[in-house]
Parts: sequence; C-alpha cells; structure tokens
Amino acid sequence: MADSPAFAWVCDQLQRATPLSDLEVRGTVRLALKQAGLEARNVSGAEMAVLLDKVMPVELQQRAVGNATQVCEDLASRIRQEHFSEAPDPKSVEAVFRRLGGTAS
Amino acid sequence: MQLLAAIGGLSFVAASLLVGVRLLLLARRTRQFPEFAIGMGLALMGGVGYPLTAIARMAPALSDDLRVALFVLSLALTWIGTVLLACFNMRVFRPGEGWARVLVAALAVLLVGSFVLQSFSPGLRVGAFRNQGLGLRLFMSGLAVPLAWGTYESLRYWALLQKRARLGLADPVVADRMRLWGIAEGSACVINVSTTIAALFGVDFAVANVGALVIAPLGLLAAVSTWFAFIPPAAYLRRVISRAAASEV
Repeated sequence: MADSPAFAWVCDQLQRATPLSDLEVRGTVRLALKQAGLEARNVSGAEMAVLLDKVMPVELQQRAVGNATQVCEDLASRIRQEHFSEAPDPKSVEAVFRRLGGTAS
Repeated sequence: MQLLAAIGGLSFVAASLLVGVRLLLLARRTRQFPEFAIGMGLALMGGVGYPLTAIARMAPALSDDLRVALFVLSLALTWIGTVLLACFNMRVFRPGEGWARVLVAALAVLLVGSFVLQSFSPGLRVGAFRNQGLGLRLFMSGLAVPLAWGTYESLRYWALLQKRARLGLADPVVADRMRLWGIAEGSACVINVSTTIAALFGVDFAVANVGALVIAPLGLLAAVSTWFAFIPPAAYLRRVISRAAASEV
C-alpha cells in the first residue's frame, strides 16, 4: 500500500534538511511512527506535526543530526500550512468504535 | 456453586441482549453495517442462542420434541450471530483482505457441516439432551473463531491507540472501548474453549462445579466489559479521560 502524502512530504523535507540518506530518513520516520502507534500509509499532516514536535527530535539526535530540534520545529510549523488531500475515513477502526459508543463520526 | 454459575451466565445473557438491542437501534439510525453486525451478533449469540441451549438441555418438564426444536433454533441463531461477528471483524479490521473473506466463508461452511454431521450421527436429540456428538463439538469449537479473532484485533488496535492517545492523537474513550471489547470477547472465548475441551473429557460445564468456577467469573467479566464498552457510566468515562490526561506526553 502507498505511503500517505504527509509521510512522503516529511521524508522529502528531512532529506533536504539533514545529512541522512533517503533510506535512513524513511527508516527513522517509520520508527517514530511506530512509537506513536501510527502508520505511514494513512498518517495525516496534523498527526505528522505532532510527531515532529514530540517524537522526531529525539530520533534525529540519536542519529547525530546536529540541529534536530530546530529542524523539527521548522518542519512542524511548515506542515501545518500544507494542505494534503485528507478526508476523515468513516470506515476506519477508530471511527467505527467511536460510533459504537453512540457518537456520530 | 451452581448459583454462582447462574449469576455469571445470566449477567452475560442480560448484557448481550441489552447491549445488542442498543447497538441495533444505533444501526437503524446510522444505517451502517458494523453496528448492525455486532449488535445482532451479540443479541443472537449471547442474548438468545445461549439461554435457548440451556433451556433445551435443562428443562425436562418440556416435551422432547419442543426441547429438540429449541436446540435447533438456538444453533440456527448462534450460526447467524457467529457469522455476523466474523463479518464485523472482516469489515472493520481487515477490509479488502482476501484471507479474511475466506476465513468467514470457511467458518460459515464448517458450522453448517458440523450441524449436518450431528443430525446424522449421533442425532440432534443426543446433542440437545446429553450435550454429546462430534458435530456438536465442532460447532461449538467454531464459535471460538470470531471471538479469538476479535480479541486479537481489538487488543492489537487498543495498543496502537494507547500510544496515539499519549501524544493526544486519539480519543482515550475509544481506545478503552476497544480494550473492553477485547476483554469481553476473550472471556467468552475462554468459556467456549474450556467448555468444549471439558466436554471432550465427558465433563459437562453446565452442571459440574468446575464449570461454575470458569463460567461465573468469566461470564461476569464478559458482561461488565460489554456493558462498560458500549453503555459506560459517566463516572467511569471521567476516570478514563483523567487517567489518559495524566499520562499524556
């Protein structure tokens, strides 16, 4: 299954802003996603922004990226301005279980 | 001891029936398949099928023909409920995955085949009155499939949502609902599997003390988990939300 546009955008930007290779960047972001319980195929821009704020700085520091916090802050604020074609999926597991509690999704 | 088993069993029946009906009412409003499947599955399996089987087996005052008819009706309703629960797992957790469709179809065929086998030998009367027969054992084993599958999927997803909730990316109430549904299905699955294994060794859990030791606590656990998952008290929800807020990064 294809990766989400937000995931692709972050990988592309990180590759430009850090000395990491494409493979290293994708692996690092995937590890961060796993820690956060997210998946590359459907992660949204808003979720990616939180990931960049809270998880990615440590991951990049562990890979000897010098200005990790600054890079992540910058990308987080920029991704919030991006508009990916994302619509909430009413068939997602989370949406179904939200409805089962009597709340419309 | 039998009183304890009755309390566990009856609370499970009541919770399945009430929550099942509530979810069916929700399905009427939303017109969505998942709430229909899980609501109907709960109501038919736990709310109607399970007590009908018990009545057929433990009500000698009824005529033999009526007891057999109730037994057949309970198997038919349980078949529908089981297949619907499997469909819920397939549609919600594994949409578009071929193996899940094959599993649901195989389960439906296995249950029909085991009913036919029981009908030919040793017969439906033996199953209804004495809880014996290879077909009946296979049928009961099949019921564990969607329960075990649903337990795995719900708890796996709960683990994912718990991680997201710590970052403020998921609703802790929804995550907790998955945990509770996983526990409810897991408890029902353990009751089912242990009852089937015991029956293979000639122990009838419906009347044996050891059966009460399993059915009473797990029946109660399944009932409470089902109730709290879909009709949670406000105080419980407040606790879930405040606990999640305390663990947020």
